[in-house]
Amino acid sequence: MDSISSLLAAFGTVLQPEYLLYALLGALIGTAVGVLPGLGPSVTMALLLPVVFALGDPTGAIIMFAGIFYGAMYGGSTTSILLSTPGESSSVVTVLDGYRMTKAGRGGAALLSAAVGSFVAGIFATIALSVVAEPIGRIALGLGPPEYVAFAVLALAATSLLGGRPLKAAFSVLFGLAVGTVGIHAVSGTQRFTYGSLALYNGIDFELVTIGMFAVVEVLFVLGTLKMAGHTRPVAAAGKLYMTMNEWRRSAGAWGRGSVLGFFVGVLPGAGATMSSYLSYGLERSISKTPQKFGRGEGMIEGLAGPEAANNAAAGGALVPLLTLGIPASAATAVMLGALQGLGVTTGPLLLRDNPEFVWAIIASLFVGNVMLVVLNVPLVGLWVQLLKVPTALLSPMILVISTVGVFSLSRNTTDLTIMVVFGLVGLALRVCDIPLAPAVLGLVLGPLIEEQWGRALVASRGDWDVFFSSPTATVTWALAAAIGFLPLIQKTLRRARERRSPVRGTTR
Amino acid sequence: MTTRKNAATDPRGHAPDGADGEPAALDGIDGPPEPEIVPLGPVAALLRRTILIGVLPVLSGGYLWQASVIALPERALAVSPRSFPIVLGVLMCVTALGLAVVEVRRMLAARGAATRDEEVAPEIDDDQERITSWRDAWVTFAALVVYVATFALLGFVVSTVAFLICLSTYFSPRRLLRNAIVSVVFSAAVYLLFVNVLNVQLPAGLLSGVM
Repeated sequence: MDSISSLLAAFGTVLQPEYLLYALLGALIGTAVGVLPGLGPSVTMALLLPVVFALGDPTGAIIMFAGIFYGAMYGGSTTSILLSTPGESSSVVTVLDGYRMTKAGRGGAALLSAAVGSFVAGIFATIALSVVAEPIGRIALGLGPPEYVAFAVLALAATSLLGGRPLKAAFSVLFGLAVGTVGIHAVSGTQRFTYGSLALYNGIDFELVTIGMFAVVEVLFVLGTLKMAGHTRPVAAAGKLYMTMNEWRRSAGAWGRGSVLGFFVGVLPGAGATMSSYLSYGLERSISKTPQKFGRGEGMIEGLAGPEAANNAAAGGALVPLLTLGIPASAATAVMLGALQGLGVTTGPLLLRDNPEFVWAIIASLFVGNVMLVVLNVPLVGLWVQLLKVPTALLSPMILVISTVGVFSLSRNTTDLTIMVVFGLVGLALRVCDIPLAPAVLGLVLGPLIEEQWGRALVASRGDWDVFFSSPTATVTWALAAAIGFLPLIQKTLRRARERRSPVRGTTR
Repeated sequence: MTTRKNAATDPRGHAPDGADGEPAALDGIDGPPEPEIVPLGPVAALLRRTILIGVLPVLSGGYLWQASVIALPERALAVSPRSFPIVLGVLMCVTALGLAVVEVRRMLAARGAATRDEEVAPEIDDDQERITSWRDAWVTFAALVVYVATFALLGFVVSTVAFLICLSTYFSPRRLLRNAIVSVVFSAAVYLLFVNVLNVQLPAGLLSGVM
């Protein structure tokens, strides 16, 4: 019950006008970015770091980030439903039934169901987060460097191997880890890979990498397809914003299932909002009495309500490992972690013990952000869609300007601008090879943490490697990571065996 | 072919129903994002081959080599600054070689099929976005390089206005006036925001006497 009084005290902080303004700002920016295709919540947060560092207030920063985080999801679903252009990968499934509903004249109902579903899920995830934060935090306090290394490796293994392309994602993670080794080695104080460049002594900031690999590369892709894509998008009429009783009833069940599923998937490293929305879609279809109607004809409202709830709940779930262990589970939470460290907050298991009011302020701000978004977005849908009329020929160069100024203001040095451009080229090269970029950011943020904890564990044990298997928690975590490592191999063997049984399908592979 | 098409709707490459072994075509997702496989295009295909077969293995090997020659301090250390990078380097080499082998085998398969006059199923990417005009992409990148290079020299306002006008006019040539107005207003707004509100000093450059 301690949690409840802490939470109430946190509301006192968050409801101050200044913080409400930050929440509003975050929600507005997040939604705008979500509506515009291309930039995701992680880049937006990276681009806003100069603003956040100028504020110098960790609570204000995280409140704004919460708004961006959820706002991007709302914005993405709006364009998925009305235009069939998902702004984020987590709203791709929303297109399937959402856009069909719009074509059938029920766009208003789809928007309302998505908005209310996101709200319900956001509130559910926040409550679940506040319930589990303290117990998990207490367990986390008992963990030492060996367990920490094991958890971080598990997070990276899950990120790389649970996606579609294990080898490519693994390379991306390793690349991020390798970039993280540039600079002074924390344990011995030796310089590595600096080649006499002063700007590299403190390592390569993840902001430069994130902005270079996501913002710059995205602009190259957008402008590189501009002449083919054309300049205008047809905007369908939303129709009236109301749902029938039947639609409310069908949505409500889907929201509930999506919220629970999304939260648990979000807690897991490597899964996140996108996977939770797919899983939720699959779940809704498999329990439906009319699965054949999903993605057909006029669309099924469940196929949109479930995934929309799930991706928002997953965003909340992803904060559990971030706040209790200091281990990010996605690119977006990795940026949050970097920002907190930049503001001087000690992240990790000690955060909840030493700075409980800060953690509770985050949780309270998630409630506020959710309320604000639903109030803001349902009536303003038309306005957001207007954003798409900004010509790309102007908008994309502006994004490059904001990226450059953002990078420059972080360090006031032009070498960082060069690094940003170089990572733009690297990101382009990786993306052309269909190598996912998000795992690299995760690797870059987690790499130095892993190496420092690994060093500490070995220093404490005087170089004895058994220390990594000294506790049951660590051993189990390593076993899990190893199991995930072998998963693609097992799947491949199973698939081969199945193809041998049914030779007809074998030809399609 | 139906199975393939459905897999392509999922940008992350795992169709929800592919996993349980049911033919995805029966109850598969197909909806507005037309599930067609976008061809890679000659430039991207060439780049992909060069990067996967050449660049990444060389890069990984280079990293491993550099990791193994990191200067060690004179004192005894419990943890060598080389060990973590070396572990990463070895894993990177293994992964990069794996990717290269997969790519070479795909190339050979495609070549073999071409001599037999067969059609091979194209590769399905997770990322279905394609650059259709590489010229436009390179122009954008070159503009960014010039912008970054002149950023400190010319100052923020001059370099930004020039960058925005040039790049936006390249992409919409008939709207020069609109582009110019938006570029100037936007640059001024960003300058004022950063310098006056956020207290970030941006390089004044050519206009250092004026501002």
